[in-house]
Amino acid sequence: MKQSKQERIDQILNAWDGAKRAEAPAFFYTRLKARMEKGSENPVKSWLFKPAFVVAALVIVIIINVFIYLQPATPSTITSFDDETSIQSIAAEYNLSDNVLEEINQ
Amino acid sequence: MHELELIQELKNGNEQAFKFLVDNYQDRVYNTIISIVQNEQDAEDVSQEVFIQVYKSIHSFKGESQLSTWIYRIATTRSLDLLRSRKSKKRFAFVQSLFGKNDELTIDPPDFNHPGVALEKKEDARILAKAISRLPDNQRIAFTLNKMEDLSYQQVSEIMETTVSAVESLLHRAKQNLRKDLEKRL
Repeated sequence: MKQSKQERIDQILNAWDGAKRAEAPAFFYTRLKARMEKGSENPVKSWLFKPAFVVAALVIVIIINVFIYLQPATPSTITSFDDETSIQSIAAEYNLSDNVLEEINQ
Repeated sequence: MHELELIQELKNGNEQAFKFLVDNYQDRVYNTIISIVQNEQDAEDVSQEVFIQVYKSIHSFKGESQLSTWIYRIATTRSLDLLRSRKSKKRFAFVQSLFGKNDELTIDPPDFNHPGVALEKKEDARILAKAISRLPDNQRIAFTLNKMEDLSYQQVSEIMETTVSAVESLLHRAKQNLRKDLEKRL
């Protein structure tokens, strides 16, 4: 008698029924210990050291360097120069020399 | 050795306790993993990683579940990690092939035969394994733990950190999906 399609599907769906438990390969513990003693779970292969990340990091560093190199002189240095000269001019205007300060201290 | 005593000895770094643990759990772990990853070499590698993780992280085991539940959880998580890494490798190879960098075709793993299946059921088991490999991850895990490790819905729910009714639903959907898949292919 020919088996219907549904019966065939049921038969396949039950194919794992009654299966024995697969046994770990022989000397599993010995190999496990050897791997543990070797020092690492996986070879030291952090994602940080993958070529794609190394290349990407280098490219980013180069881009940042080029960007900084091509920047015009920043206004902050000019400001600091201006600050220094203005302090000197104020000191001169009020005659605040080292001698004056010593006199005040005495 | 009682479970609590075993856990304490493992936390103390007792090597005999670790050997006892491996001897007692290696077949359960290997059988679960081989049924999910469907490759003997990968199953051995992942089983080793599971025991290494148990050894390293036993201090973080708080005893909120049974030791076996915790170990099964690590085994299923590690198996899924491997499946995901296989998928991403396949995608990467596909992208490379688009740019002509990899002319080799991506070869699917050969059909899997579970070593514990009786000879007269081998062919059906091979077809079933192929259909299971096309199931979504959580349905695949629930089906495998229930069928291959003969675990109750309660035990499966504890391993998958979900409810019993969620496991029932997962298994129901897994069987429906398998049936649909087989109908298309037979």
